[in-house]
Amino acid sequence: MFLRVSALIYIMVAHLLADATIEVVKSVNKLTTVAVEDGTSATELKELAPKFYRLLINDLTVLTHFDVKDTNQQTDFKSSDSEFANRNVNYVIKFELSRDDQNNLSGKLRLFSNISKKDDFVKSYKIGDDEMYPFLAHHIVADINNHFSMPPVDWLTKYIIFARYTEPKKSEIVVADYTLTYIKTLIGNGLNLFPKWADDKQREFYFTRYNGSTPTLYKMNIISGSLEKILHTEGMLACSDVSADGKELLLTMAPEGQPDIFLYNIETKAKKALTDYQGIDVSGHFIENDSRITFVSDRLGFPNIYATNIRDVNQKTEQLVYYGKNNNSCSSFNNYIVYSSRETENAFSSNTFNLHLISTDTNYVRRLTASGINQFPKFSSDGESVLFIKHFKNQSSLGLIRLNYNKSFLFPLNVGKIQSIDW
Amino acid sequence: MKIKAMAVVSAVVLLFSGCDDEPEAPIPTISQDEQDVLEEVIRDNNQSREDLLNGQSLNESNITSDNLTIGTTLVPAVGSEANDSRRVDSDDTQTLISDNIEYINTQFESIYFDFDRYSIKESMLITVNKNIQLLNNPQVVGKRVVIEGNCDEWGTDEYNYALGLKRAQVVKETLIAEGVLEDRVKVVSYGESNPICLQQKDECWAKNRRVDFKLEEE
Repeated sequence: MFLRVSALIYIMVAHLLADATIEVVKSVNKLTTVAVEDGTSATELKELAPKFYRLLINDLTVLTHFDVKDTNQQTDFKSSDSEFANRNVNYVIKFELSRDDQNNLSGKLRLFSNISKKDDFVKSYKIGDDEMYPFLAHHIVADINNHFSMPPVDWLTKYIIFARYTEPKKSEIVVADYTLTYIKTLIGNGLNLFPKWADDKQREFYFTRYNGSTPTLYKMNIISGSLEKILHTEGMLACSDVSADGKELLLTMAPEGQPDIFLYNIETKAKKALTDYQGIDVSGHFIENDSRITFVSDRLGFPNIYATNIRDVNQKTEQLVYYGKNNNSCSSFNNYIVYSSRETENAFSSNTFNLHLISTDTNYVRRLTASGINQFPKFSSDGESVLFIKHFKNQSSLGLIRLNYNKSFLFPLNVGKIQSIDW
Repeated sequence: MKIKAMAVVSAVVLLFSGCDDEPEAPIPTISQDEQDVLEEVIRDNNQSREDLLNGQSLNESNITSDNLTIGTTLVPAVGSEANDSRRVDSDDTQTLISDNIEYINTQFESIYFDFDRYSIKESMLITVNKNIQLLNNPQVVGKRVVIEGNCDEWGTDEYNYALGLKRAQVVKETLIAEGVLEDRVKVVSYGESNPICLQQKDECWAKNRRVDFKLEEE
């Protein structure tokens, strides 16, 4: 049984002679305590095991459901159950890395309950490529999460894909796990931009490549390596979003030299212009069951977030954000929109861009970050987390915000300057 | 349990390969459609960074502010009635010592822009005019030109590329208004991908908010 004791103390002071109300909320949570122990005995894996341990600790911490004890103990994987009684934790997670007969990396998991005094969950894993060991750790933690029937954390085992600059007019497209421990370059040599997963399965992705000075949109299958040319146009071209059924794309392109948002049907190859403002309209994202889009436009003199209906052209464009000096990137999930906003007058000051969360249903704005330059927000596939890039005091980090738990985490970023990212 | 998904990326091939410093991987069949991509890769591999930056000669006096004094004559705004005075006079035609494209590209000057703006500053019109004269030079007039829009590192992904494109487009429209044939001019945005100055300071960012002229390879 998963233990979680919560005590909430509400103190409300209402002033009888005034409308003002002060609400003080104190929340005290006692989380289930867990410890992770390394039971790896194979000498050749002694170097990998500590890294694996650290990944498990980080993943369990990011879940926010556990009080994780970083004891860093190495014990015998098959040790008797009575030994665990000495641990002052509710659960002990033991893992062992080994090689199977085919020399594949194997991982064994024991989730021992100090409450029931027995193994609560046991599972074995295999992986064909040693470099992908971070995903082995992520899958173990996702399984533990599911074992306790906690909200799904599919994002934990998802790839992130991003473009990073390598030198002027050169960039490459890279896939990684969400901690950037595993990194693999998929597309190099040339200017490769705006990678976007084609669907939730993450088997295919769209990206823009410059053929000479002509931006061209491709779709690549990462299993077969096949490459499909979608279209090309002069000026600029970016796939901003893919519809839920994968059949329609929101493209930013400029066939007449004017950057606008187009709805592109993959099957019929039909294009429909959704905006026609004579300034900048970019970054279209589907919202509200793909019936409307949000987008960034400078139609009021500075970049800001707007929405428009894509099925009914008679409906007017609506301004969604009334806060910030420069709101030039956004991501959407159903009715929720997260956007990056410059709050200071000085365009180049140190505290420049913060992330905010809004809903298309309300006027409520929730600020998600407090310091530094926070950009490239992207919702997870379940909409419960936001991935972003943070620059603060000469340090770049990949940030993760767990929206429902009011927690954020930062992972050091040493992969170069990121151009665009998708999750 | 075997995690099938783990094999996905490990099986991924590195397309556009051919570079010595990349790991060898099986190359899938490349259709004719992709031939142009591969040719581009080969060309890229033969270029050094210095080659890429060649031709970006920077005139510091051109990048400071709108208050810049331009000789003794203030160049009129684009679209004004006085535009005819800026048309190329054959006597002013610059002598080019070579018709080599790389050399000619070094003779163009960059057009600089204010932060988050894509209108041509009055102080930049004289530079635009010089470039138009060069485009109308008998050794150049038969060649196509690519107008490359660039931005500083501020702003994010798509918006920066759109901003670069608007800068290139406004220069293109100026060229056409000044008599350059439309089918000679192509625009492209490189967003923040093509900085010529990498330091973290205002003066450096100002150098990156620019439009470059590049003759198209024949």
